[in-house]
Amino acid sequence: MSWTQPKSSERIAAHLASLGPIEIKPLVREADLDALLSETVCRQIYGAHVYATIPNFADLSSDTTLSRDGYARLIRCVHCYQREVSRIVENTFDGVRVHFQGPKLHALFYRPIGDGPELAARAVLLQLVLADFMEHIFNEAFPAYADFELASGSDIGDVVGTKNGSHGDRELLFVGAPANYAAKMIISGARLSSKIFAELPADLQDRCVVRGDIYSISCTQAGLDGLLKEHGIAWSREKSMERVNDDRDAVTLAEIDYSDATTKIKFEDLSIRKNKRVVAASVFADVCGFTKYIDEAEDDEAREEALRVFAALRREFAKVVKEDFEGVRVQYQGDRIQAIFHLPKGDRQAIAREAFDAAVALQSSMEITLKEHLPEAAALGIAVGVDLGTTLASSLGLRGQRDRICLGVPVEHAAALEDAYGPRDIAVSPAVYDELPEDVQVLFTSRKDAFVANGLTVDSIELAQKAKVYDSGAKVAVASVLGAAVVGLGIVAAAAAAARAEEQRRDKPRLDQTFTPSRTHGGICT
Amino acid sequence: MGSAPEQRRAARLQRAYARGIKRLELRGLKGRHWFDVDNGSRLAHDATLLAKLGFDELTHEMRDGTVAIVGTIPLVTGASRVTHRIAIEIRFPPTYPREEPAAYDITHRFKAHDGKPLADRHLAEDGCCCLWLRSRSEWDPRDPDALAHFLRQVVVFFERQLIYDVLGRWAGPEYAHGNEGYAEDVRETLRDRNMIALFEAILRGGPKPPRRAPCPCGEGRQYVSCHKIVFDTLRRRLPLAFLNAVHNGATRLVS
Repeated sequence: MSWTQPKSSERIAAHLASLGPIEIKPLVREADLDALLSETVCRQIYGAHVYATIPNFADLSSDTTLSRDGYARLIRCVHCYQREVSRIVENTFDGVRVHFQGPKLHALFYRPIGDGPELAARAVLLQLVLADFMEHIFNEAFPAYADFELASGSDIGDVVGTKNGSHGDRELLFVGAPANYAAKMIISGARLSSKIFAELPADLQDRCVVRGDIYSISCTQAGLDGLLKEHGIAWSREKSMERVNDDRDAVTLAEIDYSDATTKIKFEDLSIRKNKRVVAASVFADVCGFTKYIDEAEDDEAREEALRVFAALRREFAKVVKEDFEGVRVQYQGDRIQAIFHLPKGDRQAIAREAFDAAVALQSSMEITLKEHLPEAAALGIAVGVDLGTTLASSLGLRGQRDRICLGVPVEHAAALEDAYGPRDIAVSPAVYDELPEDVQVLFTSRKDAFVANGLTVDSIELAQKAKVYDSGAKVAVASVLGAAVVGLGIVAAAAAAARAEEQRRDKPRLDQTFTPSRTHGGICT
Repeated sequence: MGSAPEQRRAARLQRAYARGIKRLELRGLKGRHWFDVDNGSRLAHDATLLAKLGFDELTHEMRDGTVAIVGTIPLVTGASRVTHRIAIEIRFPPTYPREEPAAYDITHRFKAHDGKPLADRHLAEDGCCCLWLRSRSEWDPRDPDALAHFLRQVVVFFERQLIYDVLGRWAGPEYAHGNEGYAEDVRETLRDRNMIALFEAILRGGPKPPRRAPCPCGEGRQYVSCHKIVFDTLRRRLPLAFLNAVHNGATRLVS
């Protein structure tokens, strides 16, 4: 474990010092968000957010019984799916393809600026088109996966748009309730929030069915064609099918290579033709309640403060994963970070331990150092989900817009665990738990589908280990190091301190003499 | 000659001491306090000790008629170098250094945990730290550097408090709370069940063995030069409240 408080604290201080003032203004005219936004140039953007995914996809990517061609076919399938869906979002609907998280798309509609009904209509029509695309085009083009179904969710409202700040590794990020809610409502079919429903034109509202406060919409092919025509959206099934077939035929299965990784995966070196299939631990860390925190910020100053916290923790989380541990940051997803740990190759026990240590270090950065520098973050906490298993890593999509993707059941499961648990929780799957040493296992409590530890930090683990030495009644030594007291435990520390004590002059009392900790009593406590 | 910080600290203390003494003089109290009877030499020694030990964030503070050590102990718990700054106060009894000082968790940082009483973590409601059983005190009144060992034990005590926060239990050996802790001390000192029963009987007003009779322990020596010495020592070091509790039958030594 290589996380230390001074190192983390220095990193956060340096980043905050270099950050400069954060500007948040409403977006009032159309702009290239990719060029406009940065860590300090943020915009409040009114828009409709769509999330769409293939719920039954993950099982396939972790299927260890798949043949070499089976895997190659699966990678090609995702590649073609991402490319065509990106084209539909950007070329057909004039939306922004924010990113893909595996098979999950996040798209944003923000132009025409402030035109709620138009933005809502486009978002919902995209949901219908994607469902139709999956059923009538994609499943036909890839008969091996004929049972794929598309599930989507949409919401509308204000979010803050920003971008992460690492060189050559920048991603658009949107923080706010609509971006969050749209992702959370995905179950099956096309679902939409009451806010987006309220903005919809009557012809689309008429096709919605409400259950609770969630609406769902579906229509026949003919009905969809009519709606697209009415709303001036030119999408052709034939052309879409043609593009998908072209994409599929452009890469033969023999060209698609996948291998294990003995060194840290570099996503920038991966492509449709070069993929990695590794035993990896997936780690998701999410700031619980951050969306509410930023939505409830009362004025610009409070919002800027919230974004300052956001920028600091995002950078720190990436540093913990990459610098303190042998991890790879996959993606920032709003206020969430996704990482994988896959080294040493195939060593499940070491990988699980590394991922667990990193999860604890992430909690430590949040609870100890970040809150030390930014006391306004005191109410925030992170939840971390960890799972372990076969994972497919690649970099897929259109040229210049490739997304880092990790596919597999452990990826989905780690994300679900993070989502299910709360602030300061580390939730690990049984697969991870089984690989952890016993002295770590005792820190967890068993829940329905996971093992959960609350409030673990690097420091608390060290303290738990020290308890054993105290319990044994061993001698200890207290040393003064750089103005702080350090209790040295165990035979080595005690022997070293005893040697030093021997050297000391009688008139020079020192703190590091060995002694037996007192046997405490509650005599005055009763 | 000490180092520059030590000299500055000593000068600061000297000034504070002079101010405190002046106040005492004004109230006609000069010459009645432990730090005053020896013209402040023990106080100055303790202050030098703090500096030598590296407790840079602790300092003596003179208040009306009393002296306390106040400040924080920065405690680094391990390789992660996480520093916990623990605010403490060390109060000195009027009989110091004959009697030991008391350490306080002055900000009440450590709280009752998981439904257990605060006493479970050896803290009194006012934040007083129960470092050890009074009858087994590690305070050596003859040692001029006794404060150094006291502070070492305070550091360890607070590290064990941090462990309690994590595990919800006390790390390391501990006596039972209240009088039962003293009863444990008696049992461990005497060990022999018959001698424990005899000691209890004597405390409850029962007959004592004749001084010149063979000691009931069976060692062969006379009672006066065997267990009478042990019993007398025990009676001297055990608190009166505990002895009364045994006398009344509220606390039993033989279980």
